[in-house]
Amino acid sequence: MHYIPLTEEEKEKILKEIGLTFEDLLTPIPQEERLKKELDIPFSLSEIELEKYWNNLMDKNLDFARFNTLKGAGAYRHFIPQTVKYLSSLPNFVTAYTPYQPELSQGILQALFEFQSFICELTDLEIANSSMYDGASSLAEAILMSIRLKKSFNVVVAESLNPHYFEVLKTYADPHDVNLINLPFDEKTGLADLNALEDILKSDRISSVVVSSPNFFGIIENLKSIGELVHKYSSLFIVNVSEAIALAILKYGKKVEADIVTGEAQSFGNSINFGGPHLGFFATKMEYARQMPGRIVGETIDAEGKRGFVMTLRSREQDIKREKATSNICSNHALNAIISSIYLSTLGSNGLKLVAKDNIFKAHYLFEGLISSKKFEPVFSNNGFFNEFLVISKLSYEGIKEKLFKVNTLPPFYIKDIQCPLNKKIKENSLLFAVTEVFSKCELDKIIEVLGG
Amino acid sequence: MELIFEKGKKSRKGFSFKEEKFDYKLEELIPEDALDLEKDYLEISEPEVVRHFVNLNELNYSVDKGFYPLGSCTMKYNPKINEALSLNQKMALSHPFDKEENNQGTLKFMYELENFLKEITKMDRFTLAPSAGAHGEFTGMLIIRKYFKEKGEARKKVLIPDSAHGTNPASAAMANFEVVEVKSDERGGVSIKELERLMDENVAALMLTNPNTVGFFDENIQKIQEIVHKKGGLLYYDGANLNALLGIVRPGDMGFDVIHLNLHKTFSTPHGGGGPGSGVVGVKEFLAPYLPVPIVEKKENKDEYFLNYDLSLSIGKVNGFYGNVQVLAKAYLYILSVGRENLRLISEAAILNANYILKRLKNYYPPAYDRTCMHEVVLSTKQYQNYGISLLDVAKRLMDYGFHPPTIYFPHFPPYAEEVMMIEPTETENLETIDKFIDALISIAKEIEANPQILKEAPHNTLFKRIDATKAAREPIVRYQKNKEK
Repeated sequence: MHYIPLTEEEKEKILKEIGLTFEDLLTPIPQEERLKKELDIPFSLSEIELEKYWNNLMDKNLDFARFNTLKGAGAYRHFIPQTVKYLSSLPNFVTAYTPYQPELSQGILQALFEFQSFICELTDLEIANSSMYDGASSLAEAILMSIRLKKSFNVVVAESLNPHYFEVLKTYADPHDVNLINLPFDEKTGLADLNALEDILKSDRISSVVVSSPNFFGIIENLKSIGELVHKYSSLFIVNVSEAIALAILKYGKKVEADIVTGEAQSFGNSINFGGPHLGFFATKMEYARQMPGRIVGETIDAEGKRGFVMTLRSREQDIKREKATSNICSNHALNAIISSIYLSTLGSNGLKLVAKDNIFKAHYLFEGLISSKKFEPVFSNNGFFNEFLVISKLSYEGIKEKLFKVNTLPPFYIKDIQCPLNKKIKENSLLFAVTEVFSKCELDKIIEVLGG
Repeated sequence: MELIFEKGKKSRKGFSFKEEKFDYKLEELIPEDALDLEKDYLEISEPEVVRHFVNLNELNYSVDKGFYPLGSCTMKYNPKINEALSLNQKMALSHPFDKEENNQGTLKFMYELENFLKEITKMDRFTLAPSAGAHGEFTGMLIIRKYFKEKGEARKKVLIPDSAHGTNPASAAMANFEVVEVKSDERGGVSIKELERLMDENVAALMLTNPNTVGFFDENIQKIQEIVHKKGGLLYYDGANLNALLGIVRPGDMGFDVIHLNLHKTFSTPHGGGGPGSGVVGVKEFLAPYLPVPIVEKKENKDEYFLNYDLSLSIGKVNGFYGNVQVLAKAYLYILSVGRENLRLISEAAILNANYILKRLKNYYPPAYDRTCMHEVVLSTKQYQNYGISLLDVAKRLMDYGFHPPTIYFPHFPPYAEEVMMIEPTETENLETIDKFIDALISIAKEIEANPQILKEAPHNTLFKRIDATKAAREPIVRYQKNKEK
């Protein structure tokens, strides 16, 4: 199926109108470089064939709908209300392009303005863009922005950042010879080591300090103290949030003296999709607006004075500034941002708080159940975690996997599966459990029973 | 329309959720000074939410609604079957760290998609990770950077034609290359004289879009290839306009070393109001070790697939996981449904449609260069400046005729490309629509002479009249604020 309406007669008509053969139109393409064969890809499938073929292929995957998962580590399975599924497939959201012509794009512009507003409310900052590719690339751009603002290539990154994010930071930092300085965590508490941070800040000029909260171990950092310290030395404080549900009830932004808050908003209604598309968010203070990456929608009026929206602060962007742009980003993850807006609207502020609370309670419930079984030990003395926790077990990972499979649950993230500097400080048989609202208390009891029994 | 925050009422609920009872208090579990329970911005019911977004949807134009001839954006029809199938829960619910054995279907399609793209472009390996075209460019630039670093060559410059998309120089700059602009010649291609002058051992690559943004296939491609390679540089292909070349000529056969493709353009995945897209990157064999990790591999002689992190010279990871897998699925399904016998027809129809528009409109809106085009055509409104009419006025007036305007004010490189609109009809428009669009532009040309005022105040028939972008930039309001004075 080729979706081409042009008939053979119409093709003839066009060629007659332009007075050339099709071959004439290809004249600029050198003969010797042209393809002389048919491409070696499969012949077309009909819609019936395609559907059968794809469903068979997908049957090679596990039927994930039959399982809960205890994996998090940067991507979370949360409940997605039907409003999200229904509204995010509306055709004028799905099949429009970037709202370059505002008079015909008010739906998307307003939805993105609302997304920005949600992010500002939740991060406690003044301006947010209308999405980035994902949490990791959003954080990488924040670091580059801090370097533009502070003119030093030294950036401090908490060791307790998601190691996959750190890999992306390294990639973005490498061409600019950015010096990524390690801020260690306290091996007892899992929290960023403030004394070490002060030593680093004293020793050199630092553009920014990056701390994740909850951090990779699920632990909520003492952001306020870090923020004060960072500002004492006139650096910028960048906070990363990989689990956006935490935004509902934790302090960020001005209350913790953060200058930039970035993160991953997949948890706001986006399917986990084997890793993508998810979406990054990016928020900062108004004074730094002109150094921000990404598209920003602003409020204005039309010729009749009616409120309308338009892409604004455009002189930062690549299509205008070319190599002097604040970022190369053009396409972002607009539809995922709209999905997030639908999710946040459906839940409302109270619904989102309920989900956050439910996550915390259930994660702590499972944690305590596992610990009292004596088959698991906490890695850190500090129990101030959000919906993820790190434990070590006497059971083998294979054993855990098998036991969990019996109660239709997929195993937690296994630290051994990643290779990174973290492994030196954390035993590689540590397990990172993520618990969200999709588990019922009864299901958690079963997990405690099979793992602890 | 009211903002969502201006709707709803205290104590309304839109979310069906039951709290389970636990003997916990938040304050006991979370460090007290970390808690913020005051984030109250919206309480609204489900019916209100549904109406809000359905009405927002109504305020927007889309390719499902009508002709959307944005040049270089390839706003083609997005087949519905691909949307439906890409939602399969066996993929949608899969965590990226779930075991490979549980994701064999997904990994297999990713592996096969790479094979299809290799054949279509004649490249040797692909990474499917980059999230968008610009992200692909950045990835490609990092690969080139690392390649020369390994070779011990300190090449600091990247050459980019003045006709290139803004993302090209921005991506090269993000990879810390110095950008050097190459002028176009009087036929709209890269000036060979300029290229020869600028190309030296300090140049890492030339980034080329072909067909370029003026809609021409660069007839000097062999010469260009020779000049760049002779000095040890690499040739980068921006695949934004690949929709013109399917089954006709392949970047790999033209001598390109690194390419990116926009799956949301040529391979029909929807644009979603500005994303998510996918900017996969293909390389020739000698650059394969530099690709970002992981890449999808097949076990020898087995129908088994895995993620390979073991690339000796990899530039590292470019995003958190493996790319926009759901978008990749739509592109894969599109290729399967189009099939080998139809792929070339896409480009043929796209080229015919663009040349038809060129032929019928050239007397009203002269092209920057008098030649036939590929899949898109660039026309100028410059002559109407005498009537006080700008390109923007023409674009806004087109809305009154029911069309989304083309890309405007791009490309921009005087003296050739000024006040130009870039029109890309794609292969999925029927001739009746294209004729109506042409007739609208002819009618507008006549209006300019008879009554230019009607253009200056356009659009008239849209729900929103001309939007004041200057006000938005001067007094930025970028979020809703409850207590803001009205």
